[in-house]
Amino acid sequence: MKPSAPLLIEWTPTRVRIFDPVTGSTCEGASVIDCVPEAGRDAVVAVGRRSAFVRTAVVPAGSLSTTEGVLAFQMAQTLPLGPTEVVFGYRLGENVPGKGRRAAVGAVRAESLTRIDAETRAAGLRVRAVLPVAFGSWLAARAAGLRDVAVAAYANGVLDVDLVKEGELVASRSVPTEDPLDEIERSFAVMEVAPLPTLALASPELSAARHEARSALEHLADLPTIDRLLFTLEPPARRAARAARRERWKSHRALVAALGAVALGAYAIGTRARVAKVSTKPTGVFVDAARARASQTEAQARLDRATQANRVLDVALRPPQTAGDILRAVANATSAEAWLTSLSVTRGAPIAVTGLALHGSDVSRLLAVVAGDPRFKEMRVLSTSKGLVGTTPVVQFTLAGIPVGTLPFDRPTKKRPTKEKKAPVKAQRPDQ
Amino acid sequence: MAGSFAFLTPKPRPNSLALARRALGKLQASATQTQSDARKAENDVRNRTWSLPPEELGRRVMDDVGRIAERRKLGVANFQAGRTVEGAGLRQLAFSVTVEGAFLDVLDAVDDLEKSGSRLAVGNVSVAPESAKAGEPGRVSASIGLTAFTLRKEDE
Repeated sequence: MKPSAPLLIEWTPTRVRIFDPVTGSTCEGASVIDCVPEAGRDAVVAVGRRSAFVRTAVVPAGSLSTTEGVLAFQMAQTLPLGPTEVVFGYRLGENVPGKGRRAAVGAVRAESLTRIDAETRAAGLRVRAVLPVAFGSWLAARAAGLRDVAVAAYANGVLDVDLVKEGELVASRSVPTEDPLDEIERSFAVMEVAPLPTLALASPELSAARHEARSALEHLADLPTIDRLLFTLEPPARRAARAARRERWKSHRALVAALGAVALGAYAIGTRARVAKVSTKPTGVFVDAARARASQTEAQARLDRATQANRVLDVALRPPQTAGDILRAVANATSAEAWLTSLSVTRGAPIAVTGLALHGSDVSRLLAVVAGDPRFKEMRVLSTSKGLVGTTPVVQFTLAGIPVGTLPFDRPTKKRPTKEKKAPVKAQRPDQ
Repeated sequence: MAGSFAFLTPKPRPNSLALARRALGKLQASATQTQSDARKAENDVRNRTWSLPPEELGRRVMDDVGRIAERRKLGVANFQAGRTVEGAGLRQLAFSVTVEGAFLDVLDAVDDLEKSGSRLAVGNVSVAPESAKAGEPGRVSASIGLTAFTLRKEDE
């Protein structure tokens, strides 16, 4: 099972010390490769105080690029190195009213970072953070809840002093001395800081206000806090590669966004084209609808013509009252005293009946019988005159009237005639 | 992102194709019904009209009238084709026939002509005593106007 705690490497150009928090063992050598217990471990590289530069600065509030620009300018003013020879990282602290934000900066030579990168790669380590070891002291002060403190460690005749002022790491020294307390006091004067209480790390023999068993290096095992509050330094090549990757990623994102926009545009155009196609181009449904409409129109025209013809034929061939019925009805009204000499029935015209009668009263009776028949209306005597048949005096008469239901059929009726037909009239033969 | 969401999220909308298909179904059903009605009406017209050219139709009507007159013991004194009238999708051919005989036989003959199977319409009937054969009382002469219907050429 892989150990979870990272290897802690204190790196200087001439000496490397590796502390394994899992085993508690320490190894020293000329390079990382000499002391790595096993490959594949996570590691935090702390650059020794003599190889790193620490200071604080106040930067105006702004974007990260603005902050980096301001700090790069200040570092160039402070350090005797060119801007490409040094790599710095920083953490932003509290606001300084009216000035901006306090920034704790850690800087290392680019060459050192390149070497660290090469050595850790060769040792098969996964470097999680590279930063000055003085920030381990800052973590110790923070863990102890001290905002203004001198964090000191004395071992092998070398005193390490890191000053934390107002919660930020402001200075770091590492000096060989026989009198560490005197050197601590001198550090306050050198760094122009008022005397501060001392926090001794892994230095029980050192006289201090507080003692802490773990060293500054051991405090750098807190990777989550480093990720959250501190920074990591990268060699320029790796930083450039990362920047290039970021640019490539930006380009890819822009390309993907452009392709997405094109795809959306194509989708939108396709959708509209499909809608337009549905609404304007004759698809199967619309062709069928056009055919059905044409068929309906043609069938309706045929139906109208046939209906009109049937109306004419109904009137002509199925009249409510036939000519034969009219003739029979008039003939049945005659008697031995009044008989017909001519009879004319025409569709849509009054009937004309002429005859002879023995007396005028016989004509009246004939008229009464015919007029009483519902088959006729408005029956009347048009004329009467006296005459002789041989020696018998007779009355010649002419009757006229309208037979019901005898429409002319040269023009169609508005409505179908009723199918109710008048009952046919049986003619009474003279011998009956 | 919002644009993608707005574009790609399905939105409720009426399925125009389904509506069109439903409307098409109704339209086709209506067209079929109208065609059926038209066929029925046209068959009705065909059953009651003649499908002969005018010259043949005259001969056919004369034959039919002759048969009826013979059956009713009437004499056909005259048969004459009249004018042709067109209207309402029909061509009307008029004929005039004069028959002679007993009054009641004339009435029966008129009934025969007016039967639905004859496809002849009786337009007018004028009955008068037959003067030529005075020795036979009760005989009459009847002039009957007939009309036969054919379909117009373009409607056949």
